[in-house]
Amino acid sequence: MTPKKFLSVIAGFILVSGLVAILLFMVRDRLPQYRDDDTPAAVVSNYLTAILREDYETAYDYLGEWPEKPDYAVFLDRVNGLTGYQFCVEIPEYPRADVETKTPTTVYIESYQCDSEWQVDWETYDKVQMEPYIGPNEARLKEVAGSWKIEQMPLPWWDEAWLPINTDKE
Amino acid sequence: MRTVRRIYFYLVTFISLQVVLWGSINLLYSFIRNDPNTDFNDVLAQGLAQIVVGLPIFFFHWYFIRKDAATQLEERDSYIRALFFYALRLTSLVIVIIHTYSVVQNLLFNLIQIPLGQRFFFPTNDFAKNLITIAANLLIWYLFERILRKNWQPKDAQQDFTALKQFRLLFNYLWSSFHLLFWVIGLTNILLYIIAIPRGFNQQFIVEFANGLSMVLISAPFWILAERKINESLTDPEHNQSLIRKIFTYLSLLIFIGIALVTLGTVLRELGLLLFRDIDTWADFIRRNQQLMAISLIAFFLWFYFQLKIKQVFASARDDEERASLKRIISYILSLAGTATTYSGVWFVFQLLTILITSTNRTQWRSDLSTAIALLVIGIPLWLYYWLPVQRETNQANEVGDDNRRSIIRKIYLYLIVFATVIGVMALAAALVYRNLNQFFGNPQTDLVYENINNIFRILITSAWLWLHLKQLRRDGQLANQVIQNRHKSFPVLILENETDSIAQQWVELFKKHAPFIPIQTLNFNDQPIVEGENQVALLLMTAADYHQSSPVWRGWIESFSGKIILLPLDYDHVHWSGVETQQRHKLMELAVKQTIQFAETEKTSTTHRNSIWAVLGYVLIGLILIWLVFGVGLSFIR
Repeated sequence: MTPKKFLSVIAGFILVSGLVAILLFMVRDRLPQYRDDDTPAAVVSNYLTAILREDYETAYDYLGEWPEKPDYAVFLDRVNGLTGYQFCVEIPEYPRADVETKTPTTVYIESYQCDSEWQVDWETYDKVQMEPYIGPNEARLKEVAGSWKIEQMPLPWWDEAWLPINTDKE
Repeated sequence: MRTVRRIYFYLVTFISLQVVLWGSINLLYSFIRNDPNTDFNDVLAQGLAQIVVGLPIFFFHWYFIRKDAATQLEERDSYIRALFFYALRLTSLVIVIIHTYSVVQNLLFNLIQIPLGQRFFFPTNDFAKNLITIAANLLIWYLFERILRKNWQPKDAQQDFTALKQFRLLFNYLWSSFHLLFWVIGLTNILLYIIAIPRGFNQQFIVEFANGLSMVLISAPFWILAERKINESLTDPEHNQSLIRKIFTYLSLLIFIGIALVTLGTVLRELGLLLFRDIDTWADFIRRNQQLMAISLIAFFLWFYFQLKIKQVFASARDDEERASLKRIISYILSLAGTATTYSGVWFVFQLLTILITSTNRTQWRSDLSTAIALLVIGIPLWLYYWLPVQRETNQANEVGDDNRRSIIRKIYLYLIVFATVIGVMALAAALVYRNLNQFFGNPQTDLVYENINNIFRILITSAWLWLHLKQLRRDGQLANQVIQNRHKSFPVLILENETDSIAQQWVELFKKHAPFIPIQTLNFNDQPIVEGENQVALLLMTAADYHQSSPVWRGWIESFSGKIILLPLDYDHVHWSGVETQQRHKLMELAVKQTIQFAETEKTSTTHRNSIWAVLGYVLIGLILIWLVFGVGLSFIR
């Protein structure tokens, strides 16, 4: 084989790779997947995933029990339609799975992927869009019978009326 | 002096042109994009200042350049002038291309709705800024391309196109390499997206996909066109034999072999970690190695491509000797990378053995074992594939073997390994003694038994490598001596002298001392010119005086002699030698013997290749690659 002929092979490889990537991009599952919920970070991720997938009962199941906890109808009223900008957030794997985590614990949600200039028009999502909450994006979780449960999330996935009156400080 | 003046004029012209160009771009952009947040007066002042200062300086210097080129042949055909035009062409086109990436990324990012700020190229530039930059650079390129084309038109018989040809070739290779680099980066990002999909919460690698796609869309077609142009122009003998071609082909091949093997080795090591449960799941394995797998795949393709190109380089060698030396460069560089990698692998195997012997509780054994396997799987085939054929060739007691043994690259290879291993043994032994002495003097050392056994193993491994290569050096020496002896034996020398002179005995003594295997025969000019084995005599040795005073019969015999003749330029009677340094008789005789030995040992006519600046540059670059390969392949995936 001559270099000239192999150049066609390389061109074909580039073309096929490009087409496959475009095809995958077109048919991609735009919704995130659930993960094993064995860490606080994974629970927060799954909570947001459930809202994004409009699987609100699953999202509600991730909540713990506390006096100000909303009932399902109030919860649904608040989180229904919160789709879209979850793509902007990154949930670091901290606390790590292999390290014993104190309870309650805090998971930090970073919204670095989006900036204020980004006005997204998500064609696929016809729900109301909201600006990502800018501030200390902390989620608080408590371990209940070996599972991590959410007791507090940052806005907009939460409501101030749901905040516990006597919060445990770490 | 003229060269310095030339460099000054072209450099100032180049810089002032760029100042004017970027001043104009900024000024034009500020007119179009009237941003209320920007201080327009400041932008205006800055742009105008650049143009007002840059333009006169440019025109002043360009005027003299044009005048000189029109009146002086040397100026017109100079290397600096050719460099100026091709550097300007390269700069303008590269700027056009990278701003085109930004434009295409702008379109793609808007299409798939991701923030423009995450573009790889000029994320803060908007459409207008990129288009103005592209248009302005294309204008400069077009204006100077017209002048360059005029330079290529023959004007007179004395016109020398060498400089233009050299820089055009260099431009073609740089242009191709530039696009190769960027489509490889682009395709890596595309493959990253393919491998990663559909994991993750953040629609991973969409940014990389869009950036990569733009780079591939632009640079892949340009690279293919540039490569086709290069391949087609190989019919030109100057290009076919050019050093620029060799340097770029060697460098590209070595870089992609290096990338392919380092990434493959790292992935193999990670695969080991997955098997030994240091990495939990396949998903984790993919996540950790997706980038390496993407790069590796592309590097293997390009390795094969440049392997085909290097075969073309070998095929176009002028003769077998040149072909063999071209092949040797690749063989020894990759042998060195292979032996360094194998050595590192063996090092890790013995580290594991030490853990087993001493029952030390070390958690990193999984990592060590995976690293050892990866290093050996890559290192041993690489080493053997390139080293064994070279060894087979070298061990032949013939011309091919002799050429190989005497090659400078083989000597560098063997002495480099011997040097490194000697230093290594010394450092390891010193560490061993130091640790034990410290313990002896009352400073407790942690894991002393483990460290001692480990160090002893390391000394043994390094010594084994040292012994292997020392043995090879000695064998090379023995075979070389054998060949030299044979050459001396087949190079009989006839010494002729006058009755009054009798220096034959001194000659014999000198030959006995410096070349005892060269057969010596002495004859007196008073004897008849009847020489034993006359046809076999390879060289005649005599003083100029003896030749001058010899009989016509001898003169006739010497004239009909077809071998080599060395005359000793000693003053005699009223004859003196002009231009020859007066030497002592003994010193001159020694020089003559050494010259005879040189004739005996060099059967072939020695060809001298002039070392151009490209050769020097090429050697330096190949040296850098060599260092990178040795350290890269051997050590990069030892974490």
